[in-house]
Amino acid sequence: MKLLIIGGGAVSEAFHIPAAIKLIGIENVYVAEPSANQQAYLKSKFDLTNIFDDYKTLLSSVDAVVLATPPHIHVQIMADCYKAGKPVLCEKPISLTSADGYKLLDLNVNKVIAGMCHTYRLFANRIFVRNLIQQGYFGNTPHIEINEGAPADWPTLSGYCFRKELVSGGVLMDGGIHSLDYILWCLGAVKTIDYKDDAIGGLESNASMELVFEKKATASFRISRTCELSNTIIISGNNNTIVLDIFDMNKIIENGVERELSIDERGGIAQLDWTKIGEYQTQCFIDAIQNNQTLFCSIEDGILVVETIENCYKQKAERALPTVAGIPGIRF
Amino acid sequence: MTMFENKKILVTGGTGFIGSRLAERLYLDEKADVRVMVHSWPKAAWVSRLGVELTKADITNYDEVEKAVEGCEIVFHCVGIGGTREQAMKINVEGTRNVLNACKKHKVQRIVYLSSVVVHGDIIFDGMDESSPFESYGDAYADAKIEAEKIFWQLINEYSLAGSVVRPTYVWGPLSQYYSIDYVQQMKKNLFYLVDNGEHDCNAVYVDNVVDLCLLCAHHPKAIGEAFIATDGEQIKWKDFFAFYADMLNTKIVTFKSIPTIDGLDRKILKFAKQTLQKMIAPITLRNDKLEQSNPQLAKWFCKAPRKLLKMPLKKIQKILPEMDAVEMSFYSFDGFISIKKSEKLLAYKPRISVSEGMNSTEIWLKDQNFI
Repeated sequence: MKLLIIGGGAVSEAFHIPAAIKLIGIENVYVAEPSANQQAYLKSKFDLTNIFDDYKTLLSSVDAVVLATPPHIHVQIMADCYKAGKPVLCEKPISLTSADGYKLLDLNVNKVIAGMCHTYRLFANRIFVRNLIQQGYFGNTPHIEINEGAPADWPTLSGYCFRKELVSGGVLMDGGIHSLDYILWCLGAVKTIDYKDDAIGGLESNASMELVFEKKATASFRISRTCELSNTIIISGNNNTIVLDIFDMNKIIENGVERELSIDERGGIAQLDWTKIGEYQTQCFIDAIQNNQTLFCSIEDGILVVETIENCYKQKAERALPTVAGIPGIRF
Repeated sequence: MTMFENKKILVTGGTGFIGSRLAERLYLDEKADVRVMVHSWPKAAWVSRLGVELTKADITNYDEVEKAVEGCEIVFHCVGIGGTREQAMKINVEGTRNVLNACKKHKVQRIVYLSSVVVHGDIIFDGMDESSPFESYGDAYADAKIEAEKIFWQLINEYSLAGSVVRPTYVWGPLSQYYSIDYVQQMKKNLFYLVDNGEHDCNAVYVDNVVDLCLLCAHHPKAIGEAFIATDGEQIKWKDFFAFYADMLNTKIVTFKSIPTIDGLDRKILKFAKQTLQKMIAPITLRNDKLEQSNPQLAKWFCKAPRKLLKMPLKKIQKILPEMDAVEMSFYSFDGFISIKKSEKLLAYKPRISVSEGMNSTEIWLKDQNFI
C-alpha cells in the first residue's frame, strides 16, 4: 500500500504522517506539500524522502490518498483523485459549500472509496452512547448538550480557519464540525435550528445553537475558540444521564458513576487515546480499501454537516447585525 | 460620516488585547477599512470575527511590515511584548523602527504609537504627568518601551511624520489578562491578596478609554508630536477597584487577606520561621538527591522522613503568610494620582467610560467567556 498525504500542515504532522509511517513503512508514504520550508521541516522531523511539491504527478503511483489541505481546494483535489480512481480520506470540512459537496458525489462515477475524517465517530464512548440512544436508553426524546471550547492554539500554518477569503465559516466550520457531526449522527434529521454567533463581517469564534430533530430529540451546542468551556457532552433522557469528556475516548460518567468502558462495550477495539487515534483512523481507511469494510464516515455525512452549518448561517443572516462595538464578542 | 470612514488603517498588534479592541471599534463604530497585522494565527481568534483584512507579518521583518503598511493612511502601532530582554528589544525597538521606515516610504498621514506609562519608571506620585522623564528601573519590557519611544520620536522628527504616543497605565476590561481575568481567577481560587487592605491609589484605565484616546490622537491636529498618559481619571482606591470583581463573584473584598507593606511582629516571626525551615530543608534535599541513587532505603529514612517533618510546619506557615514579590507589592502601594490634564487641555479629552460602567461591561464579557 502506497499512501499519498496531500498537505503537510499541522494535522498531517500530528496525525496522518506518523500514522502512515507506522502502518505501511516510511518508504510507502508520500507527501505533497508546496511550501519549501515545511518540506524541509517534515523531511528532518520524519526522515521522509518521498516529499514533493505537486500531488498531481504522484497520483498515478500511489494506491490511496489522505487529503489534508485547507478546505478551499478540497473539491478540485477530490475530483482529481476520483478521476485517477484513488480512494481518498478527506479532512473536514468536505467543502466550503454543500453545493460543492454534492458536485463531488456526482463526480464519483466510478464509486471510488471515499470518506471523511470525522474522528469523533471512532471514539469508543461516542459509539457506545450512540448505541444506547438507538436502543432507547434515554427514552424517545433524548437531549444532547455539548459545551466545547478552548482558546485557539492549533498551530495552523496557513491560518486558513481564521481567513474569510479561504473558508466559509469560523469555529463551527472548523473544530465544531466534529461535535455537530456527532449530534447529527446520533439524532438524525434536523427539524429546526435556533442559531447565534459572534461574527460581524468575519468568521465566528463563538457559536451556540438549539436543535430540534424530526424524531423530537433535542440538542444544544455551544462552541468557542476564545474561551475555555466545560468540554463535556451530556446525554440525558428517561431519567438517565451520561456525561462524556470531549477529549476522552473510553470513559463515561453514567448516572454519576465514572467508569472505563469494558472491551465488550468498546466493540472489541483496543483502548484509544490521542497518540493512537491517527493510526486507528488510517487503519480503518486501509481496511476499507483492502478488506471492503465500510468507512466510519461517508462523504454524504460530510455534506450533511456542512449543509446544517449553512442553515445556521442562513438563519443568522436574516437578523440585523449590531452597529456599535459594545462589548467584544457579545453579539448573540 | 465618521472621522475614519473608509480610510485604510493598519493596526499592528491587532490580535492583542488593546489592538483587537481598537480594530473592532475602528471597524464597527468608525466604519474604517481596517487591516490587522497578524503574527500568530491562533491569536487572531478575536479579531477574525470582524470584516477586517488580516495580513500575516513579523514586526521584525521590514519587508513584511512594509507590505502591511502599504496603502494605509493611518497606522496604529500596538505591538509590544515583554519576554527576554533580547526579545523585548527586538520586537519593540526594531519593530517600531520598521514601522516608521515603512510609514515614511508609504507617506502615512498619521501614526499613533501605543507605548506605556512604564517609560516614566516604576514609581507613581501625585500629579505625575507626561513631562516626567524616561526612567529605567531594570525591567526588560520597560527598557524596551523607553528605547522604542526614543526611536519613534527620533524617526518622526527625522522623517517629518505626524505622530503621537499614548501611554496607558494598567489597562483593564474585556480581554485583559492581567487586570481583569487574573484577578477573578485568583479570587475564585482564594489566591488573591490585597496590599495594605487596598488603601492605596489605583491609576488603572479601561480599555475603551485608551482606544478613545488613540482615535483622538489619530486625527486631532494638536495631538501631533505629543504623548499622552491614559488613566480613567477617577480617584479610587485599589479596594474600590477590586470590590467590583469581588461583587461579580458574589463575595466581599474584605474577605480577602491583606499583606502589609510594613511587617508587624507576627509576620516578622512567621517569615523568620519560614526562612529557617527553608534553610534546614535545602541541604536535606541536596543530600537526598545524591543518596537516592546509591541507597534509596537510607535516603528514605534519613532524608525524606525528616524533610517531610519539616515541610509540615512550613506548609502551615505558607498558608497563613500571604506574600507577594517586591515589585508587585510596590505596584499596589502608591499614593497619588497621575494627572491627565494634558489630554484634557490639548484635546478636550475626558475618559468616556466610568469605572462602574466599564466593570458592568467587563462582568458581562467575563460571564460570556466562562471566567465567572
